[in-house]
Amino acid sequence: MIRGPVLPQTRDSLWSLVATRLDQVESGLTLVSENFDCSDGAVGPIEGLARDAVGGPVLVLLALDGDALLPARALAAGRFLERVGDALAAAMPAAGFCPDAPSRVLLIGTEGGAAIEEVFRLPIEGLHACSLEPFRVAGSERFAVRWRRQAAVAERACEPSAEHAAGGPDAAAGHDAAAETAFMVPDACQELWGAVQSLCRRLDPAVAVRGDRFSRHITWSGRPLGAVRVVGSSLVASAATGVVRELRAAADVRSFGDQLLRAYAQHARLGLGVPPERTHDPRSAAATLDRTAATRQTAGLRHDVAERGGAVDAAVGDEPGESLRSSLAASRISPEEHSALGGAASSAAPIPEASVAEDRSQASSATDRSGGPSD
Amino acid sequence: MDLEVERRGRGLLRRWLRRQAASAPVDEGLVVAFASGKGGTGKSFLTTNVAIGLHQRGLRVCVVDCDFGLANAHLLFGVSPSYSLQHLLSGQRPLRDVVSPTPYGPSLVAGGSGIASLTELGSRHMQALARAFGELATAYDVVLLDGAAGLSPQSMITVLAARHVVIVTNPEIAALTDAYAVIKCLSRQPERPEVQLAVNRVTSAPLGRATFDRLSEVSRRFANLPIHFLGAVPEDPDVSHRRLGQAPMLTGAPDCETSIALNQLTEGLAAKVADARAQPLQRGVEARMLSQIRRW
Repeated sequence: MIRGPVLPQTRDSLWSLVATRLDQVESGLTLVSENFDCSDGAVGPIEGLARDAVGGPVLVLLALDGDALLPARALAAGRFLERVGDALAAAMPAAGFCPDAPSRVLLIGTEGGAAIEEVFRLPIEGLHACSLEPFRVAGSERFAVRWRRQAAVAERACEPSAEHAAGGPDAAAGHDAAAETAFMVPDACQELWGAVQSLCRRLDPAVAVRGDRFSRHITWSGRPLGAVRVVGSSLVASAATGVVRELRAAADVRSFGDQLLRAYAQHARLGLGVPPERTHDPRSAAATLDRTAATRQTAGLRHDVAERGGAVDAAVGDEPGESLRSSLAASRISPEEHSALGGAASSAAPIPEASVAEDRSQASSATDRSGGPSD
Repeated sequence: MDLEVERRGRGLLRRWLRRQAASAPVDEGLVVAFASGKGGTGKSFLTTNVAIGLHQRGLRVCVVDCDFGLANAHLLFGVSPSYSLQHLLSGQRPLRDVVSPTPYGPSLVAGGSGIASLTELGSRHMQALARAFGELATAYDVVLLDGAAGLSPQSMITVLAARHVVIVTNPEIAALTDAYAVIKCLSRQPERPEVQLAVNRVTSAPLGRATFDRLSEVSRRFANLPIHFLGAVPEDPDVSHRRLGQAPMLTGAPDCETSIALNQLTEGLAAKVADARAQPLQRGVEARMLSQIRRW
């Protein structure tokens, strides 16, 4: 059952709720330290310092109405990052910040609050903000995350993905792309992410791809098919089938696509046919042959073979490329192998000479078998 | 399901479903190829008798004589089929007309006389052969491919299409060397059948095992391919002296030493049939063969 807003408005209770669920606010966001003082005690500590999915430092502030010091703390946080943001990686090695990752301020408010709008008017570089829309389900508190407009400076610094710039699948699917958060795909993974998007577009126009800065959730008719997350400098894809895979090459995208298709087929109830049980009546062989021939004739024999050939192509596409002729040419027997077989001085256990001699004489008359040639 | 897919009109989904259908476990009989490398080792003799033995165990068996030009399985079965693989490959007759019954139970697809050898077959003919193997595997519990001697892409394609290959050899260096050449070629394939070794014409039981041990050791050492011992068949003058028209050993002299050995071989293969039923492959014989044809 869903009721009205119940999100706690006091700073401590809201923070206790958010701090344990930062990953739900933004994929990969991890709390590093709480009560982080970046103003030498002048305006009080901010709620926390976190690390985002690509290792960037994020100063997290709660925006609550009536907090008179909020603008001052936000300004202090922005200036702190301007001054020492680049040095945080070296200064706090245990935090695991990435030296090249951009730093930013993340403002978290509640839906309908005026505090966020007030802070947005301030010239703070790298400011991102979201509001939480609270609700309660089965007695437990949940919240939906709604991202507010992003600071233009931060967008320029972070080089948004091609999807956002060109109107990706979200736009194609009829969503408001401008309202979507840019997906911060690492440069090395842009091509792979493009392949995933293409795959989603080709799968079904109703497939939606949405998410925050560091994750994209792929759904079809509201049903999850999978998700792609930025983890450090790579993309990690997790399908609804439970398969998780890092996307490092086109083969990984194909494999992820296969899992997406499985999930899609499952949701769309596109089950595969099960072959009928095999009968073991010896008399039925001829009838089966007739049935098979008739089925193939109906389906169109050539088409069938071509299709199966195509399927086989796909199935063996990853096999080593040595041709049969090459295999045959490479099957020439070396002197060592010939020797080991007993062709010359051999280290292998000898076959009794008498038997071999006898067999040789018998083999030479193999074609004398009066029942016809042996082979 | 197809209608639903068509309605959606998604090419990607159609291809994926088709691929899934192709990779779903296939329900077909066991395909076993008999190969040797060297001629005269007794492939046809073993194939026909093992076929009879499997039929006696209640299995539907079909023998395909792939030794074009030197086809003789029909002679060992004592039949003169009106049509052969030649008629099938030339498109003159459908497969059901080419499959002949034999007096001993197994069905036979006789090798053609109009084709000089297997090596004359092009990829179109090989595709037709693959289709025929697929249909036979659907209709029979066991399909035995009596292969041609020698190493050629065509003979390797038929061997690689099978789930098991029985390499028939004799305990002499020429036969062993040629058998090893086949094994070495198989070891280089990305997808290969399980290799069984049958030693024919041994003068004593230990000689069969010693021959296997030697070939197995060399295969493991140089080709990194394990092989399995299917059995040994003793040298029997009665085999050599059987005349055309006489019943095969297994039915003509069921109690002799050779028939007992043949029955042991048959038991080994019958166990493989049961295993194959329990663990169906993802791809059928036709798909396997088509993939090999593409590697030609």
